[in-house]
Amino acid sequence: MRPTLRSRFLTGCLVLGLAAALVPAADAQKRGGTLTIVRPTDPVSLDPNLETTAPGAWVYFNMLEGLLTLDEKMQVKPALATSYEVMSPTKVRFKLRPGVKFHDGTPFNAVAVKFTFDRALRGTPPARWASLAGSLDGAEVVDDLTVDVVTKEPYGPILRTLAMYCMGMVSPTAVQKMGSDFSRAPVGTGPFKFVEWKTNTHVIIERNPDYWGDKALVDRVVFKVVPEEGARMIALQTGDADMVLFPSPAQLPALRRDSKFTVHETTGIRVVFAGLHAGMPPLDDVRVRQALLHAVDRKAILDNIMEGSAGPALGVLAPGVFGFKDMQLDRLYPFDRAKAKALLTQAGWTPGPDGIMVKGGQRLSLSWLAARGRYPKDGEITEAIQAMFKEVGVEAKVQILEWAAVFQQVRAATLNHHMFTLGWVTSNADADYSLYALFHSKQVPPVGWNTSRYANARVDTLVEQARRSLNQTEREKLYGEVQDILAKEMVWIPVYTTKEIIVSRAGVKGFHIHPVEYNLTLSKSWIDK
Amino acid sequence: MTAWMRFYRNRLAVLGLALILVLALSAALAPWLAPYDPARQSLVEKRSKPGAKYWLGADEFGRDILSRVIYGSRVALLVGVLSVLIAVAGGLVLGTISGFAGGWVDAVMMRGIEILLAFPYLLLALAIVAAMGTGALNTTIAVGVWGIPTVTRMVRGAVLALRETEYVGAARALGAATPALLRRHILPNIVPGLVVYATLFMANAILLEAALSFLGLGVQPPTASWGLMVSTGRDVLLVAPHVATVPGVAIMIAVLAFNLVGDGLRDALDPRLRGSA
Repeated sequence: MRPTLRSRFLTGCLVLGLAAALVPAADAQKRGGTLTIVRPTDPVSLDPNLETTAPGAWVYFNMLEGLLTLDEKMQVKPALATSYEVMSPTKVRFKLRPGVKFHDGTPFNAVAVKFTFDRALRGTPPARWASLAGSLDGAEVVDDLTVDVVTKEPYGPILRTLAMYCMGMVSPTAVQKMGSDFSRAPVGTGPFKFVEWKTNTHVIIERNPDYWGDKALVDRVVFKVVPEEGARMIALQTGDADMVLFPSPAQLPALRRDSKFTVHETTGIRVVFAGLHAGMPPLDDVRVRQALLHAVDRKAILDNIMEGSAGPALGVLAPGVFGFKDMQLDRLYPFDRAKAKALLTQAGWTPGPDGIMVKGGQRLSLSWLAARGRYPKDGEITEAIQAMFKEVGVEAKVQILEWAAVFQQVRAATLNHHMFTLGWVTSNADADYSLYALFHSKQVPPVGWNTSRYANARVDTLVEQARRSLNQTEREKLYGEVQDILAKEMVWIPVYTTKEIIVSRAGVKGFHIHPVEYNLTLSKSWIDK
Repeated sequence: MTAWMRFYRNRLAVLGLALILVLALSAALAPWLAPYDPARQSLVEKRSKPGAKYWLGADEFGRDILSRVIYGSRVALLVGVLSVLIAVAGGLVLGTISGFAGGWVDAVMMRGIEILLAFPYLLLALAIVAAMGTGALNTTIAVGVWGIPTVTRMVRGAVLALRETEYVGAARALGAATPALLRRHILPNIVPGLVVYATLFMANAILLEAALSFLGLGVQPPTASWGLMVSTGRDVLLVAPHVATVPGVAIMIAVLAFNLVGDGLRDALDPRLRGSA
């Protein structure tokens, strides 16, 4: 799809000269056209209450805005709030931006903020993001444009939490009028508004002409579902797509050299891992888990499957996240098959007739849930590790299912699989977001994201303490200790840290890639030709 | 001229039969024929071009494509044969009952069959897999069930026609009971047509298995399936075309072979087509 509206010079009418800072002076911005994006999976929903993963967030992030936002340098910036003031350890007062309207005409004000938080935190069940928002308790209306955000207890990461991609304000009128239909056609204040969603085909959004800030430059954005990597790349080559999410790593070297395309790259903050169900035998034995770590040649996966499109995983957090500590995986768990077998022997496993380890008549067979295409090369790394396990006498029964089916199963209260391939983004770049939701024993789904069913009283205490503290040095130390414990007990096989990579036609200008995959800002992009 | 002679004279059919024999042998002798373990990975040798070590090259995990194609023939043939058995057995029973009983039984069964036939073939198979889960066995059942309606229709038509023939009427007049009538006079006359159909169905069954695996609904890794191989190889089509092409050619050859044999059998067994190769 080519631009339909012939471009007009826009520089003059851009608000407050902000654009001058973002775009080189020689590159005059053009307005109009349709930006077509191909990506592997369709959203589960377009309502942050129901969908916190990227396929939905990529779309709704452009329609819904929060009080604050994280810029590309991971700094907190104002969005629908213009300023804030800390009133007490559990209360922050925000001044709201005046004159903002939702796409349906409803005015944005303190009541809408309270409504959004009440709907998410007091709903039954609570919003998916409720567990990610720590001790956020809601909002109190002070006057029309002043609101107090309150937390149940002192909460260190409150500003970064409010700046998360899923904290977008929703129109109270629309939610009440639309009921459950809202999840397929959300109404926010953002630079784009919803047009159409055809399941597993496309989602279309268009410029919000009444946006309070810099209006979007393209007329429309079409998000198409193209599950296969090869087909996505072909769509880009033939011009059917302007932008590809999850491009083929094998083609990146050639694309970087090709002047017809732009490869946008930045270090991401997602760790992709093979999760271990620590509550399910035989994985409740830490020696078995450690053996699995030793059995995996992570470097070979990085070199040959990721092919430079990802960095090594240095632990359960990505470097750059506040509170990150290198878990020294290469030193503690080097690729060493002999060591892996020795640990299994220690745990009482002996080689069976077909080479698979046995103990008390039980084969060392692990059932493993994975999707293909949700995270870069997720199916492939699963298959590679499956083969590596076999070399040390561990059988992995892999089930590759579509993402929605995997998601439902890992989010269920009981998980009947030993392993699962997942990725985790520390979206607000604060260790609390991950270490609390992933490893606190009370955060087992559906409450939180402790899919490994990990339980360690010391870790619980540490993450609770770090969460309450407003002293950043102390918090960093506490999170360090958590990661030291996790390094010994290993309930993940961390495989890689993402690089966020998006490829576009060279004619797509003004796009800035964000370290947080969800924060796909499209309002500043424009189409040159 | 006997049917076998007529078949033998059809060179294409013989070629098809030879290809099927090769396929059957490779499936039966896979562990001895395959140079490598089909699941053995060597990541550094990913996407190796065909050469001395890997005759048909290596896939994206450095697995030997030749070995995987050989092992893949097992899945293809196994799914093919078993699903043909399901389709033929199911179709034979339902078609005979429907054709022989006639009346409202026939009417009800045929409307049911027509509903099934109205489904696009992949949709029906997808629905079955969605209900029962993925895996080689469920794929087989899905493919087999997909074949039942057509076989039923064919058998019913043949039974209806045979039921009205004079020799069946005569046997009935002589007091032959229904089971004997079916066994001695009707079934033997259905078999030739069924054999032809089964052969042609094999080709479709192999293709459908490949299609289901291609869509990620067939066998699960690390089992080698041609459809799955094409599916994963497609991602690297531009940089390593052999990864998807080799299994693609295998599917083509197998499907072609069964079609050739099916055509040959049809010509050989149908007196009206005698002489037209």
